[in-house]
Amino acid sequence: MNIDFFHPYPRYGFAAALVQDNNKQLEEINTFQDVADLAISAIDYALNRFSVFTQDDPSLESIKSLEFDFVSAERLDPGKKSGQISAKGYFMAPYILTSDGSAANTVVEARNLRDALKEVKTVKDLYKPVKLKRSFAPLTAKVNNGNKSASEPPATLLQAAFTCIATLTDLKPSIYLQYEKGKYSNTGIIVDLPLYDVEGTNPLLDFVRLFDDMQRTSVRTEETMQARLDTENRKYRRPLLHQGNFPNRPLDYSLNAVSLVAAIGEWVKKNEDKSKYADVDFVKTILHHLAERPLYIISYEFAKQERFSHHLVEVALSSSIPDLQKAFYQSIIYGVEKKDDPKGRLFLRAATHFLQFFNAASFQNFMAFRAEYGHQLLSLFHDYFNSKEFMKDSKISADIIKSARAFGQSLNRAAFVVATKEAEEEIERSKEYKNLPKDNEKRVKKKRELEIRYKARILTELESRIFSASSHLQLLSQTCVTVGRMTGKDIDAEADLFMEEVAQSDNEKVSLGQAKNLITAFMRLRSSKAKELPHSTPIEYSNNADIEMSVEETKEDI
Amino acid sequence: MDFTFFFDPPVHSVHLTLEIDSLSPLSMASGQPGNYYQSLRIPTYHMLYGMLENALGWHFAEDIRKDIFKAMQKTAKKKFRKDAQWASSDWLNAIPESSGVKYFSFLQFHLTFDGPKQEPRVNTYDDLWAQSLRDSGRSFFGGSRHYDALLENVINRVRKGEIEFGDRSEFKDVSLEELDKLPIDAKINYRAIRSLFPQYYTSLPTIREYIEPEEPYVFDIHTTEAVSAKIIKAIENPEAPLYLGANDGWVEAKIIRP
Repeated sequence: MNIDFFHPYPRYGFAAALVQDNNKQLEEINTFQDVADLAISAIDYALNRFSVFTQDDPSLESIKSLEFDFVSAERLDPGKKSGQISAKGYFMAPYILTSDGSAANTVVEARNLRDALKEVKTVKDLYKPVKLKRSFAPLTAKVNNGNKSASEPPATLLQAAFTCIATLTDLKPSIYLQYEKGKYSNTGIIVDLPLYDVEGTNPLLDFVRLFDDMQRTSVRTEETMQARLDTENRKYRRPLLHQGNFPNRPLDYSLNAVSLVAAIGEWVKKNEDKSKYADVDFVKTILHHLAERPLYIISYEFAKQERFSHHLVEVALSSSIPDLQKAFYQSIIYGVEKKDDPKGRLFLRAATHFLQFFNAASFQNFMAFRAEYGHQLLSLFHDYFNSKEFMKDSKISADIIKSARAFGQSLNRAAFVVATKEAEEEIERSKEYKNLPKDNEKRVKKKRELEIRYKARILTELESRIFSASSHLQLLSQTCVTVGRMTGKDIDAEADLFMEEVAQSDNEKVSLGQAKNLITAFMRLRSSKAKELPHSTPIEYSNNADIEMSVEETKEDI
Repeated sequence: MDFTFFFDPPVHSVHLTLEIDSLSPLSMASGQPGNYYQSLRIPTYHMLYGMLENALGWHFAEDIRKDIFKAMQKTAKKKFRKDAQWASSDWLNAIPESSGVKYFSFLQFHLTFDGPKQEPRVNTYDDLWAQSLRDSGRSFFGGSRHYDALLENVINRVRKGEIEFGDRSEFKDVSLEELDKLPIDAKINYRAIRSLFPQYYTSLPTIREYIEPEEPYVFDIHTTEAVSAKIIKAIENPEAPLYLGANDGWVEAKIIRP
């Protein structure tokens, strides 16, 4: 029997069922009975991993953290009547793609489907009509298909069963996600890979096997099922599992293309030769297969797709996406002072898109935010400027790019020199600080604050001049003269090659737009010798993916 | 409209190539509709039949289509009842195969598809889509601002609480002339004013996946002489715009005789 599905959702459920059942091979599925048995076993397995709960009492002084365990399938009964609700410490696992209000229905429907599968006696029974309900098919809703009123969309028992399995399976990347301010939902990624490939491989099965292996090494541990307890107010959160059912959980608590590729990349690098599927070539093949294909981010509340470009695979495996993300977080954005400034969040989104697509449009959006970046972004810029996307038809050699970097860094250094001087002068002028010793903590902190602010202002002024230049020569003269005035010195000699290329505007080796982008990008990089940033950086990881519930609260979820 | 092709035995002696190029992004429902519409990458054969019938101008309501088919099959069966080759064939006896939305094609016995030879590479993205829906009047009233000026007074009176609209049995039908002379506390059915509202209202926008195929779809067609002549003519000069999937997915089709 050649089982396949047009829709990626039940297709994923089928693949997950195979891998979960001791890595069954497709060749072992020959009869309708094999299919029915596979689905029954997958649903039973999933119902034993639907909800987690804790028997520890958070009000006891001796308890420092809470241990969670799965509710057994026999006891599983989400809802107010049984007391299996969030307020009483019962949480749905993050890979169960339903809502708190719908969870009871999900369980009922899963059991119904399993029972219907047990009744299958012929091939035809597998294709008997079944209605798709949102509780186990989150992509569906009642629809008006030419009838007077809306009704649930129809499917076959086969499709419904594997759709339900996709909704329940733990073999998909999932997080308890804050998708809007104050709103949370279990969210998972369903990948759109084929079950059968022309080359005789099974890409979707390979992906699920890889994910299964990742979980085996890092997720099926005690730590994942623990929740920290705030020893003062006795409040606790969901266990670590809810921050992601895969290793290298995203530090920004988001579930997107970049966090998935990053998690996989980091796992391979750390587990090479230690685990069956932690093989760089194997993973590269899968990731390249995934690139340019939709990743469906699905929850009960919303569904959308994302994609990433092939270059991200190289970044994930040869450098480190988490390090790049940290560099983004440590960027200082002009005008952003507070941690929760929406402009800061927008910058991070533009940065994520740049990593995802690595094309001219995403680069422009990223550059639109005036900021100073951590030095780790140097390699990212080098990769981008050396890519076909930036080069297009022109031939800008790697040496010119290196020279452009020297040019940009000269500007950055010049801004630093001036800012430091101005900050010192300001301190000397102020009554509050001038009499404090130079190493006084308060004075040092104030000086640092002023340095950052002034440097940002100077860099912004420089950028304005750069962007307003209307010719190659004007671009060079504006910047060189300004730097000379600021520092009394010339620009670094290493920048000569770049300046010569730009000055020869008639051979158009470097277009005006390209020159501006090169200068600005490198100018915004903090030099490698830059001092440590102070602790209060404008954007920080904020651990707001928690629901803090006190054990006394009897407020119940709907 | 000429359905005499149906009375020919379905001998697929003619082989053609159908090439379909998308003119705008396509969204072909893949079976889990409602909250998020994922798209098929290749149209189904039912969609292709639909496209051909669109070109032919064969657009019928469900019940009329069923009646026409029954009549055709009955006539054909009478003619070929004694012919051993065709007497028990699907063409003369079977219930036609229909799609998920209960569409079935008259052509399905006399024309079959093969392919596509290759699945083209597609770009995919999400966009918003809304459905045009019809209603007996309940959804429009109080919800739509697009109504005939004649209703202005009536609606003012409803707002003042003088008259009431509803759809239960105690709400009566009135003619349009009586609308301005209604007594206080009159109860009128929505049906009475339905004609003063547009035919369709637009549903809430839903996220839907659209695809942009990078190459045309190429299918093989096996059909009878009569049908091949019909569809070649129809595709060259279609009765209605051709589309696949959602009806903003316009396509251009070519039939080539290899």
